[in-house]
Amino acid sequence: MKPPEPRGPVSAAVRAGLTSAAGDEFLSVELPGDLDHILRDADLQLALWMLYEQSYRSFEGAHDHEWNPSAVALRRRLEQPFEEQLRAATAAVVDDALAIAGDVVPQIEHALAHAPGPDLARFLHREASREQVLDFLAQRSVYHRLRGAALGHLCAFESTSSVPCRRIAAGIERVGLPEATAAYFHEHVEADAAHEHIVLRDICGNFVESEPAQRAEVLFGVAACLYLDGLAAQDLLASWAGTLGGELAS
Amino acid sequence: MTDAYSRCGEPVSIKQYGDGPLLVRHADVVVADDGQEHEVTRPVVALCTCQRSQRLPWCDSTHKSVRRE
Repeated sequence: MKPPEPRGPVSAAVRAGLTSAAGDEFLSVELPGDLDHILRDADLQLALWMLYEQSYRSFEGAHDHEWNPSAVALRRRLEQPFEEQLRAATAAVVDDALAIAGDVVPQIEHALAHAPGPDLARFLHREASREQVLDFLAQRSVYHRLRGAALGHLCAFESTSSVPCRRIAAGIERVGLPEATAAYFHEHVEADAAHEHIVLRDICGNFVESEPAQRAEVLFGVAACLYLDGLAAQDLLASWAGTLGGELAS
Repeated sequence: MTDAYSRCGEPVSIKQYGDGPLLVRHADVVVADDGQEHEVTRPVVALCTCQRSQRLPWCDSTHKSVRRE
């Protein structure tokens, strides 16, 4: 994979650092004084994603800076405010879910039933133009890191897949894109109808049973996935309507 | 009653998840009520138990939309 086109000064510096032998660029990166909007800042998110990606598949022409101290330090400066803001934005959902008696399964189901943000899949199903469907296909991305939260994130991701995928596939067919494009979403209608139950009960249910202290972390992961999906849906719909920005309505 | 069996010998397991679908593991063929055989292409498949799926015998999670509306 080629390194992505930078979206601003920070992602440009990270790309320069990754593709240089010494990686001095990581040291001289200047972050904005105010990181209050890191959840929506494409430059900072792309920079963070590139720093993570070198631990997975990395990029063509990149040098090995996975454990370069200045790269790790920069990663921490980005992921700390990112995680703090995500926890702040989802704290109410996690607290509401924790207030329900019983094991973690009904708590996760409660969070899933109260997902914030607009129904992007419904819009893609019924209304989106061909250009908007193509725009959506270019936008998908996933976040990963913390252990319990990663399982919760996976659970919300799988549990909000089957029904929306059916709508998205129908939208892709409605605007006349090739069958192969819809096939990806059709596959996930049936596959995730099974996966969502496995992740919810077999994985998250059993995980919290064996590690009770991870309960709130799993719920944080669920809420974080729903929140970011809601934010992305709201911004994508707003960009199509020409009214970008604003808080996420619940 | 829907039936499921394996051609390769590994035992088929069927498990109900809450009030959702039946999850069938290691099946090669699922036989629907009308006797029609459906080839299984995944290690785990979800069978509809509410008859509202548009992809019978497979679950397509329609039960979630219906319950919510």
